[in-house]
Amino acid sequence: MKLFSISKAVHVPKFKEADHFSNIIEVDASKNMVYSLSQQHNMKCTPTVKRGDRVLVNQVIGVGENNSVVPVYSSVSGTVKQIATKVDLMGNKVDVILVENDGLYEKETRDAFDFKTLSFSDLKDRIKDLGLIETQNLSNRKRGMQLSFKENVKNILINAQESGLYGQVDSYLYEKERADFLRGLDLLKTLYPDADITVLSTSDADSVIGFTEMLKSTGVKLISKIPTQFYHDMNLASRDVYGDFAMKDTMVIDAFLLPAVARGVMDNRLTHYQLLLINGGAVETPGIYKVMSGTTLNLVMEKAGVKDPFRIVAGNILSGDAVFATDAPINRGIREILFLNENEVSKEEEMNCIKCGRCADVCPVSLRPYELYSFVTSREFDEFFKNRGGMCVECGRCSYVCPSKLHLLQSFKTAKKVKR
Amino acid sequence: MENRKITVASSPHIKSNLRVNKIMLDVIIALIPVAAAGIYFNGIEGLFLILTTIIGAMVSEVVFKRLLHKKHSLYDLSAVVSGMILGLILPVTTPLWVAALSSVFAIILVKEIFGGLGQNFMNPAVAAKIFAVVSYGNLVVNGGFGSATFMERFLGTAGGNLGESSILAIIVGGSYLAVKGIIRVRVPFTIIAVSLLFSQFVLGDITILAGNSSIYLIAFFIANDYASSAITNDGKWVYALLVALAASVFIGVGENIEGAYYAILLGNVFAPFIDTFFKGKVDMKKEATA
Repeated sequence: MKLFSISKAVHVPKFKEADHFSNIIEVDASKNMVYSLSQQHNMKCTPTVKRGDRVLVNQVIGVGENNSVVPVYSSVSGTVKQIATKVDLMGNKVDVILVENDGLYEKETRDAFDFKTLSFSDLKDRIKDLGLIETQNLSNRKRGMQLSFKENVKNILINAQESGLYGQVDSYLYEKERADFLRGLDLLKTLYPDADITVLSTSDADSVIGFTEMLKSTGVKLISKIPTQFYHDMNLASRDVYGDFAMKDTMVIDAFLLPAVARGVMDNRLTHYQLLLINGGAVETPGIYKVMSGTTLNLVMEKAGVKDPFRIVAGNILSGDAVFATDAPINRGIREILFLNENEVSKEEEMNCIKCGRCADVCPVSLRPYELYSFVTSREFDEFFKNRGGMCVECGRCSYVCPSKLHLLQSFKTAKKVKR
Repeated sequence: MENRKITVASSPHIKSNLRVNKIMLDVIIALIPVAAAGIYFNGIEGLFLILTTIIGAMVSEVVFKRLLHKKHSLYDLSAVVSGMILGLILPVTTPLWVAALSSVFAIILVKEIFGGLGQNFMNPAVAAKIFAVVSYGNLVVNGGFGSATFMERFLGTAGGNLGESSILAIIVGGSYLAVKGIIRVRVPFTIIAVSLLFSQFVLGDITILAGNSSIYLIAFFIANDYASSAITNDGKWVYALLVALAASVFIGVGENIEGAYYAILLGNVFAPFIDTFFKGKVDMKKEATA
């Protein structure tokens, strides 16, 4: 049937040549660090320090109210200046801890443990305590969940193809964090001796060579060509790689968190930095930035030489959120920040739907966006959910391809909020 | 902090270059060989006919939108496409005032009354063509092609409706649309294949329908109208099959020379109904995996 559908080839193309960055630009920790107590959406931590307290590196400064909230660590040593309410990147009001950095980086020692002797649930707690936030499926991407390991999985998918549209970050893994990445693979092999481990990388030539070379003696498979170029929800990727019903036996791990897990579990070291891909027309020096947690976006903008951005996008260009305030800390889980010029952002007016059906062709979960859109515009929200509107993974492809430039994704987001 | 101006909007922050007027422009480009062949074989009257329907469609769109106190939407080029197709499916001897009146009917009564672009349940050009044939039967006379052989019909002869003179020109224009990805190849493929088979096995002579250019014209240009055809990909097969069978019966058995256009109207009316059959089909499989 696909033989006769030439227009089925409408996939989300690369908007421009993906840039390659091999060197890493380090952003020094500023004098004043800001730690958000709500790194996960709608989930709050309570501060464990008071104003005037001295904090050390590795010290817990915020603990979660419930089990699914990861602790917040201080990445510098210094004094707590204030605990205040601020607007975060997305415009939500959150509590933050302001720490004045004394530049000494005195460390608090952490209790030693041996992961081989721990039971699985203890190990899960230890991994949660690393404070890592993963963003591999839709609900996690929006909410930010702690990284958790499933018990008894048959397949492990390691996703290294994030941010394929505006630049490649995966070279970082096989060049800079090679040793820790391989140790992470060893850790997975020890924990899940029977599991089938696969690394998913971009089909970019350099990445393929780099990963093939790194993985050649590990027995880990590499997939560098996948049916869709860009996954918003990694559960869909596991469906493509392992087959339709493999989702519940599959664990998807962000490849960029794996070295941090290896360090945390094997050496008991915390990772206090995160990698950001900074790109876009308004950036003078695009590249991979190594940012200490607790750094505000302003500092990164200064370092990268950002001039008058028209829009700032935290996340992928198709599904990332627009940034509301720039003096807020960068949450964990954000991989990519784009500073776009006015002419890079599309601002076309809506027209009537011409019912071409292109949106339905590109939808990864086989919805019919043209129909859902008409339900939303006529405010028939029950019909919207009956037609599986709640399953929308918010990837943004329908809005991307629409020739009438309808705000499809925006209307679906609105409809989902109305129901809640 | 200095006064930085950043804008906030919902994702995606970038959109494809495809626009409605680009699609329509591609359709116009694809229609040019058809129109050129029609004018070449039928004489300069063909050009006047096409110009009349295009201008009539554009003027009626502007006037109607003005009456509704709305901005005109000529820039989407859909009125031009409707007018052009209407001109191509009328006989070259049609009086120009009938052509102009038909284009007013197409735009106002078939398209704008139902909500404008994309909301029409029938193809405006075909509906207007049928309006002209039914209302002014003595003036709109399709003389047919007489005793032209298949090769003559394929390369081009005078007669019939303006756009029907050359099958080759229609296939050239249609291939352009297919290569550009504007139309689904399954629709013309099904329509042409089914009519050829019908012609060969039911009527006994493949050239009866293979030599009828209206089949090719509807297959490539009219059955693919987005708004009035089936949207679902599986529904398109059924829709095309229905149109092809109706056209074959009307032309081959009923010996109605305009049968293909009646078949399109029949298909248009059934298209939303066909779509309802292909709605729930993917649900089970996808939900099990989600």
